[in-house]
Amino acid sequence: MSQNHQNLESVVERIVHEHFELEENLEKVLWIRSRATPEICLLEVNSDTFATGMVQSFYFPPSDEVPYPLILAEVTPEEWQKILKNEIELPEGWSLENHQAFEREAVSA
Amino acid sequence: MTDRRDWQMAFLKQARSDWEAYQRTRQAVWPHCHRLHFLQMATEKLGKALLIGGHSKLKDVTHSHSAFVKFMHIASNNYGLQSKLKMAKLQLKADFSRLLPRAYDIEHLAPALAQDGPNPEYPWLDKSGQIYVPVDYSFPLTNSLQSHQGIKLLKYIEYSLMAFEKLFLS
Repeated sequence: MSQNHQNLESVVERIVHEHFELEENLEKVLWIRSRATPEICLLEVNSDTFATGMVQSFYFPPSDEVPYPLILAEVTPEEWQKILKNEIELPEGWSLENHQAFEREAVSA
Repeated sequence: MTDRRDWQMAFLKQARSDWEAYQRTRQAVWPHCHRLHFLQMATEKLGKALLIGGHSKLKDVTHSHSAFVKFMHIASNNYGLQSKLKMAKLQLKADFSRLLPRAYDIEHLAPALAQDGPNPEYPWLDKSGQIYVPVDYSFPLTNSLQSHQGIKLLKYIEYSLMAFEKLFLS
């Protein structure tokens, strides 16, 4: 495993940990790892967001805190179930084939 | 005489284009200021597209940079938005109320409202006498938009732009 890869993983884990700490309604975070680029793509399942029937993703450029491009999307638990059934599409280039799921219980432990 | 609806659609079209520019400016080499500039412009025009439909003088709306926070207040009472998002009236109002501080921060990126402070377009002098240049400045708003409330605000902005005709013109 390269050092860069380790760095990427530790950055993702820190973001996920922070988001679970700050958002009590955040149930699950999926790190979509299918891209060849070093972007961090996170799909967050949060019961406090609203459903639009689509996955809206937002890009954030690298910063001092997150030295990688970051793409964030939030869906409701119901929308997440529809994604699993392929009733709602993921953004272009995103796939669940290679992802890592973070659950609140596991991250808080 | 040009109809107000024509002006609404004109501002909406430009707002959508500014939003697309905000979403597509993805190369890491782009300084944060340019993306925030597009975001400020998109939201200002989204606000104007709605406000022009009201009773204010057209010039008063188009010549002001204060439009997005007003948009948030009006949209928080929008029945179409409540209905489409399956939210109760008070729920939508509470949601928008929590998002107002970030909406205010976006609106005040406009140099005319930033009052010689941080803005994404022109250098400014801070109280210590140091000149800041937008391309070198780390805007706190960029981090703030990565939070749950920030993402929620971006979702509302995008949804309002996409469904504007159904939500606000029908």
